[in-house]
Amino acid sequence: MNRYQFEDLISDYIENKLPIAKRNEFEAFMEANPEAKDQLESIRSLMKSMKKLPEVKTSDGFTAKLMKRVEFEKNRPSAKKYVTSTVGKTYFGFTPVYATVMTALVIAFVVIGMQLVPKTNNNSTVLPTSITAETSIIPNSSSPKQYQNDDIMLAEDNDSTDVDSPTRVKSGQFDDKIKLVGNK
Amino acid sequence: MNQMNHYSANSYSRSSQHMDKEFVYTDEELIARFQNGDEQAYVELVNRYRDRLMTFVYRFVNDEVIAEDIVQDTLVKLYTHKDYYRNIAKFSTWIYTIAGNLAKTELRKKKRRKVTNLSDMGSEDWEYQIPAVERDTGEIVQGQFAERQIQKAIQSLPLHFRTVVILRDIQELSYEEISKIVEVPLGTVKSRINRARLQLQEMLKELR
Repeated sequence: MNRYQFEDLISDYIENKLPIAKRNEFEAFMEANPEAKDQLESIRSLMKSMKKLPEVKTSDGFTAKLMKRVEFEKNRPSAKKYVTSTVGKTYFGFTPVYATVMTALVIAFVVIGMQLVPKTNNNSTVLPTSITAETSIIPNSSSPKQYQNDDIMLAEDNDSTDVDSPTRVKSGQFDDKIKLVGNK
Repeated sequence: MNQMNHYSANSYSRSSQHMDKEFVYTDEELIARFQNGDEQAYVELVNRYRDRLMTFVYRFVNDEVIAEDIVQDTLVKLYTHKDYYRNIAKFSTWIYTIAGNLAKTELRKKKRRKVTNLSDMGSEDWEYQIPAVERDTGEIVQGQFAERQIQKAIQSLPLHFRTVVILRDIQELSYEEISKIVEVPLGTVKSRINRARLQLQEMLKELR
């Protein structure tokens, strides 16, 4: 054991917390080094003196002054939330009412945002209103061939104003629902 | 408020008069009662801790006026923030933590102000009470001198040593409790206390 190890163990020795083997080693070092023994006794005496230090008391007017401060804190409007209310359950830092309002606002924002976003279609483009009086959907260049004579005839029979896209006709999407009656 | 007005100066005695004498409430029971609205429990806690906290804070900041203000602040915080206490730790741990933090904050401010050394003050400047037991004058003076020396030595310790040695050797708290108050591991607390004692012993050797 060296001097540093001895010093590290002084408190444990004084408080009887050293295991027996370590204690024996500690005492052996002390016996071999009188200065170490003096140091130990000095620290032991210091600890006793500190325990005997008188208690420092508050002044006589302490409690009256304290109660005045407590009354002030109690009646202060901004402090009432600390004094009168208990800490309630919060949701992400919001009280239940505020949490509900915030949640509703977020949902409304999302729904409205989704409504405002225009639906885009790959086969069509939207013309600006400065060009046409009404917005119209112009099919893409891949489908001009549908405007052949046959198609015009079909278009006359068809009351729908919608321009059937080739994909819609080809897929037979409405085969089950609409039965075309051909001119016989 | 009506309950508070009933508390005359006489009721603020250091012994518990209004609580049931046959049953002594623990600190945790008192704070629970206070949280449920029993303001008498708050008064009892004040009576129990005012001097303990005063001793701790005074030894820490070495100024009685400032120490008393800090203890007042601590007890006001106890009143306004009573619901912040949760029964997972001892009440004493909580109150000492508050007082310790306020004392450290004050010391940081005090660093910028001129510090009056205790050794420059005469004994008439001391307002705290000397033990009432009559002793030989020489013994009293010697005791005061020793206390002055120890207080001076404590003030020269770094803050993290000062806190733990006061809590252990003057307030006589357990290592576990000190560990929770200062929020460092138990081994670190023991090491700091040991080193603080060694430093105090060295300093007192030089002061003689």
